[in-house]
Amino acid sequence: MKRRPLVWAGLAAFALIYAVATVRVLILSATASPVANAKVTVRFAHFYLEPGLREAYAQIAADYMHLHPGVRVEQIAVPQRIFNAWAKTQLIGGTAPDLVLVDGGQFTLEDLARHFTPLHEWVEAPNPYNSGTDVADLPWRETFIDGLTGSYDSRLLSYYSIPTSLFTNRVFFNRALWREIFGTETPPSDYEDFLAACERIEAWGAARGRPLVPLAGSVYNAPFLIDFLFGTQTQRRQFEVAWSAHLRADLSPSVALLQGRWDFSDPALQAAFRIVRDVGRHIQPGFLQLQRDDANFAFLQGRAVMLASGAHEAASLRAQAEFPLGVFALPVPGTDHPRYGAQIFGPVTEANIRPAGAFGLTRTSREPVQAVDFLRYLTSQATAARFAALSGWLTAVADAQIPAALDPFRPVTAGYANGFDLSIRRRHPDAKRVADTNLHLLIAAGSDDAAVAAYTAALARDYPPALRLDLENRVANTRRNVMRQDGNLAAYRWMSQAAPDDTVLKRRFNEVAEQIDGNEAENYFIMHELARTAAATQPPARP
Amino acid sequence: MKPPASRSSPAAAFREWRLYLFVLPSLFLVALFAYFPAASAIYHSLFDWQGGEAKQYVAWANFNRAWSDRVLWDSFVTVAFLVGFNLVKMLPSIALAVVIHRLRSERWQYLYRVLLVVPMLVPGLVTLFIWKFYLDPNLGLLNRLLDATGLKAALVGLDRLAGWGVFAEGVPIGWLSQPQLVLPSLFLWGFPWIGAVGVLIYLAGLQAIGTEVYEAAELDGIGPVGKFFYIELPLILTQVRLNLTLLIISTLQGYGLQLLLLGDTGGPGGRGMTPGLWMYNRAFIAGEFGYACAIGLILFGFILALSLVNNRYVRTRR
Repeated sequence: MKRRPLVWAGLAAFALIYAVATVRVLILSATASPVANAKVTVRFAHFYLEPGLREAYAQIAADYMHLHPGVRVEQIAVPQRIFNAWAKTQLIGGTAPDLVLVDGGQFTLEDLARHFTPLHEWVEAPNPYNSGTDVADLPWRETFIDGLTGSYDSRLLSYYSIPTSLFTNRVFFNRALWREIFGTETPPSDYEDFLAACERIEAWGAARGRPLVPLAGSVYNAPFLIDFLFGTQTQRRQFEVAWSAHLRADLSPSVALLQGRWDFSDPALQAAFRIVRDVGRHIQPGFLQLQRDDANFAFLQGRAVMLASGAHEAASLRAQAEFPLGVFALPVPGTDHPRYGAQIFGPVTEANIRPAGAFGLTRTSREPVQAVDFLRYLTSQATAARFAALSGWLTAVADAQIPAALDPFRPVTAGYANGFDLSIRRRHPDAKRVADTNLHLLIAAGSDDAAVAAYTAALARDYPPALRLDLENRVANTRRNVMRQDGNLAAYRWMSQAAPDDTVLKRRFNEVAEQIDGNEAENYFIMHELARTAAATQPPARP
Repeated sequence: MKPPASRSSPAAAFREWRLYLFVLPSLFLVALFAYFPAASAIYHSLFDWQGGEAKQYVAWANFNRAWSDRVLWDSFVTVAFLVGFNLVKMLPSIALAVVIHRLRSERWQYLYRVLLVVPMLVPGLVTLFIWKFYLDPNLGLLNRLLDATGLKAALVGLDRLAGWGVFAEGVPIGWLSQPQLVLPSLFLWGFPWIGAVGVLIYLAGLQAIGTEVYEAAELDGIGPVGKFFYIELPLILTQVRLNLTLLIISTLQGYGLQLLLLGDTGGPGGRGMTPGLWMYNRAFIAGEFGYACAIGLILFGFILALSLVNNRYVRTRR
């Protein structure tokens, strides 16, 4: 009996909290104007949690909702660490938002074909939100910096995403610390200067008993340095093995490895390993176990002098840093460099950077027209300029005004395209896993030769089988896609026969037939090369 | 007059058949959320499947591939180490349970039980992040502790003698970035390895021991250590076996710790790769859901076998 008052008090507290929560939800629902009576809801999901970006998206969504009463736009921000699993689960379960970020190579060809809507019909029409501008009459796709070529899938013969931003790689540095160490704020002018600066920073910190590292790093940031520098050493190899002369990565380096046209003892690859080691040794120890936030934390706390990252990081770093922030482009070795010059054509261009922040329209979207309309609004010249100003991110829209603070991040269009790296630009997840899990060998203590030899041996053993697996998966994906397209082809043929004068149907039939032919040709080529090279690149038998 | 049906006859079992309807919703939910996914995994393990409606029947190809999958079998070696570590980590919980049980004051016993339960309120993810921070090479508590106590210098000296190539002067120890230190780090994780649930389960077993047993032991002149080995440990073996089974299952299945600390590739050299993490990697990174289902079934087979071994050979005295 003694405990009865306590029981009643607990129940009363529970009831009170429940009542407060209910009232709060009701108030929020009632006051969420102007969309309280929204009949149409567009949801878009992404993994960008940087300060300023979500607010920018929210502001633009609010502007859009004011323009279209009765439409609600909801933003879903999911941490990058779980975004892949979350998005795939939502897509497979049929509960995905209308627009999903498709950056980062997390979606395969089959994912795109199965879960996303082709956008070719929309992108060929002008963007109505550009009316009154110079680009009012241009097709929507031509209003983007890359003409939307980055969103075009040559195997599916359509556009599958609309980009909103552009990430150029830069090195941020702590100007106050830089002045303290070097007596100036001038960043390094060439590659050797950059390495010398790293060594000087380490010596300066050691002399003062201060734990100071030249480069903050993490599994997220390190590729901005190491994949980029690796690519400088494969410029010539890429050119030699590429079966197409465009600037973008394709499967040619992968197939060339199977064919024995390059291997890990190749001078270009050996130079690439050495250049990665050069810089990797100056990244904060243990960077392979660290995440992006850890690297930012080290940089913002003044425990690291530099941080390599994308332009999208600038606004949040500027907002959080208690020191003046400097920016420079990572210097690459010149053609006269004694160790690396032989492999390089010259300065690296950023003209082939694929725009980022790209949203795909899901097939399960209940409001596809409204969702595309929101994308049109988001990527109109005026809104893109507003997006850049609000977020501090570059925009993927051509000729949209960007704030002066973003000038250092404008893409450098002169120079030569970088070659491949070991992830072949994220096309081969298993091969990338092998390269990543062995990277510790390359940056281990000891002599350069021993580290490079250990990494070379590990890759020679594990990389080709992993690459074969990736290519076999790609073949299987493509085959499934062809099977799916066979049905479309039959349907278009049947419909064309019923309406022989319909030119649109005929065009679509030809497009699908061309797509199937292209896919099958590529598949047969890869299968042929896989079979031909099987003996040389099979994994060793299990003991 | 018809004789009443015996309590165990089918007629008696179905006399109040309407009562079974109350069980149906629960049965339906269990079937839907527990058995259907399991059955689906068995079915899809026979397919080349990427998670959607399109799939191709490949019979045992996924299992054949698993047989020659070096990463998978290496991951079983890793998990064998982890099971071994976790067996060692059971000991502090047993010891603490015995110490609490032997406290004379019930009030103090209650206080310790409460103190054990309080950390359970902290979400597991937060605990993982705190541990990740402890293991940070630059800021982490562990490296600071080693530096402050001079143990780092001792480790560097040992390294020079043994030629491990792991510890070096002036270089922070990368606990999760050096392949040689991944397993030791996973062993250190959770120190001092007091599992609140485990302690409470052991305590429940200890409290079931009658005072007359202790009195008899005291009459026989058995000391505190003897009481533990001759009375307490044998009489809580039921609880130990339960914990052992749960531990083996959770260690074999688990991959959250490795995913958070080391990423989806299992960290440097793939040393932290466990079968569960490899299953996750194949499903969500490579998109090979069919193969991931096959790995899941192989894992199921291992867990079942180990649980049977545990039940067969860890005998309890009643």
